[in-house]
Amino acid sequence: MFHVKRRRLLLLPILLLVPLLIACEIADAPDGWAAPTADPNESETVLLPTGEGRVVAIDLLSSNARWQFPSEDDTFTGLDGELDPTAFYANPVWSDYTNEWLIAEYDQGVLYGIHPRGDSARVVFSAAELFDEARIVADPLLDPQNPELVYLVTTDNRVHAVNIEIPPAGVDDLVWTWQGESEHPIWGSPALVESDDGRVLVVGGLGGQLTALRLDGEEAGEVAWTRRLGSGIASALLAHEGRLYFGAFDRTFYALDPRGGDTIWSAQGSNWFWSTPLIDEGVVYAADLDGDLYAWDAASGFPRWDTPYAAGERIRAQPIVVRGDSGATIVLISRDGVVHQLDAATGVSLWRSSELVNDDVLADALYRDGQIYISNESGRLFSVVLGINAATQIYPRQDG
Amino acid sequence: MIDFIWNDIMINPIMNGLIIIANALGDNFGLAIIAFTVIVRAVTYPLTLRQLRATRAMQVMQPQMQAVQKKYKDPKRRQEEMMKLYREAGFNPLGCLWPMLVQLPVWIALYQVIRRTLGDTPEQLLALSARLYDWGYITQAIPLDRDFLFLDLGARSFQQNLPLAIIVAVTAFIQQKLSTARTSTGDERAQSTTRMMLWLFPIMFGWFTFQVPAGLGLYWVATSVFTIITSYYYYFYRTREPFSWRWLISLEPLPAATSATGARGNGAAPAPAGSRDRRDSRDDRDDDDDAEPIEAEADVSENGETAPAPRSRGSTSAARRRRRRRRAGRSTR
Repeated sequence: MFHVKRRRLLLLPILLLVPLLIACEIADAPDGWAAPTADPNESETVLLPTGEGRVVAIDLLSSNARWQFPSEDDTFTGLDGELDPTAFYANPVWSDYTNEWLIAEYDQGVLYGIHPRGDSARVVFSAAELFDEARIVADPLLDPQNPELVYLVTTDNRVHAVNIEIPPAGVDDLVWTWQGESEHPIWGSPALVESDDGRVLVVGGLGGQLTALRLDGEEAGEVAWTRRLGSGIASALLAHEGRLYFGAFDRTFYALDPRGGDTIWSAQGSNWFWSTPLIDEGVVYAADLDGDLYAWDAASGFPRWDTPYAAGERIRAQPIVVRGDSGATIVLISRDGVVHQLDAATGVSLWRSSELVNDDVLADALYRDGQIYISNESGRLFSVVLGINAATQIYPRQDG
Repeated sequence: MIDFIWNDIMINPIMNGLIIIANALGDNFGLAIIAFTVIVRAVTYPLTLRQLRATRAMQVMQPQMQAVQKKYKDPKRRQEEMMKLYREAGFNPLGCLWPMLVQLPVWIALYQVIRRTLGDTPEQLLALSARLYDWGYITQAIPLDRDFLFLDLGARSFQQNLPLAIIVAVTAFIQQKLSTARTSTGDERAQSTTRMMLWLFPIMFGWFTFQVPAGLGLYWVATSVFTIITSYYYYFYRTREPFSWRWLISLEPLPAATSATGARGNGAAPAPAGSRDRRDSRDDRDDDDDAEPIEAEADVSENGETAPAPRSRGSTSAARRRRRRRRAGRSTR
């Protein structure tokens, strides 16, 4: 009877929806984009946060893992139970004060302190335990004047001052904590700016709000000023010579006065700015998600190049300056894994590789000893020598 | 090619359109989803109308269908005769499927749009930038406000989606009940299937609501409400059939209707010429000139042959075909 068959036919496509939806869920899992970071103590070691929720300390000479966090069995000395970090967006930070790596995990908002040789670890701060829905995307920021303090920004619009020597057991143990009113999270790394009015920590969120928090004296943790832009801010804020530099979703790059948040100059891009800007020799370099790299005079905002450099693909990684015999060059890694080298003075392309690393590149790259270290979204680490159109896979090691 | 069609013709226009609507409605993505539902339903209204007509035609043909079922024990022969009956009546049973088939890619596209537009990982927002049209109005509208009433439209938490799942299931139940209101047959098997669907669809959609972002659940609710209004208008308001809210919340299907548009009692005789149904038929043609006539009143003779019943007004496609054949025969002679 067709009547019955027709009804069965209706069921079929609906049931097919289920595996499709599940497949989409898997694709949505966060990978993280924390950058490979050089170990200040071991010259041949690089810390690599991978997309699988692990951090691996890699010996660059042998490509061997010196240690990894968590270890293969998802545990780690000094920490209880099974560990399940999902992703790392915040770059690892080295603390001379506690002589350990500070690594912030995304989903549970945990700041781990890891011994430099990977012998043991501890939980410095667990945001999700104290606050619901608190995750960490922004880099932890160590206070240079108070090395026992780290400023942590969580996605629930909070900023916490944490004493890393005495991990807080509860909210009351925090040095101070501030909560913003925006409904949108804060993902961009904060900047610490010194000015005539004292030191402020400036945070910018996806809601377009900029907030400066006082850091010193009895007013520490209180709002110095706020400002609202027309659109969101996802890029890290960069402090340089008493000014604040960043790009936003309104395709505008800003230089602000940290004393009150007034705009000193602004310049237009062609898409969202998400990568951290670079300042070198009085020039600020910033790349947008159309793949255009701009060079402006840091003081005046006057363009330094005739036209922006067009990489042709989105750029999330921060530009790098590389100095050679013939002067300074700017190195860019676009999302497709292409390495671009430009003349810093003119923006003219000097060299451009093919797609070298087999997956998206969103993490900042590391320049060390004449090599560019690039990690892709699959958690692999490659090294590239400028001018040579090939990449060597460092980790995982390719035997043979 | 498939990638181009899916992304550039489905996903990206829906995504950018929703962002524009949301921005115009005060950064309210929930209202944008409801407005989007109205637009989709308006665009697919001709298909919906065809589905409603096909459902009604099925009701009209029930006496003949039952006669065929009783007459033929061999399933193959029975199927052939049924298809013959449909053909004679100019009725396409697959007409009921089109709205569903059109809805399916829209659901999948909307699911992806919501995941991408309201995604909460940095990678999702970064990927979104590549899909936005190069208009400041759109690019500056991101990120969107995910909240609507008690819902986080991008979230799938059980607690949050529970009340939504109940609303989805209830509206789907009412929708299902109204859409099957005029398909009551004397065939016990078909009726049990209808009764099963009455429960299966709401439960299934209620369960889906836990698996998908709340925004898609909101779309289902809005779609169901739209369909309920359309079905009520078409089956009851327009035909002035009696309607009882008590029946709507009862667990039994609606008894068969009083006229050929819904003649009360199973196996009711076709409506006589000049009855209310003829007026509806005329109205239908006014609505959609291209629509095929659906009120076939075939009769099944004792020897099992189906013969088209005399038409009260207008002509079936079969009759048109016969006239065309006659004309063709005359011209060749």
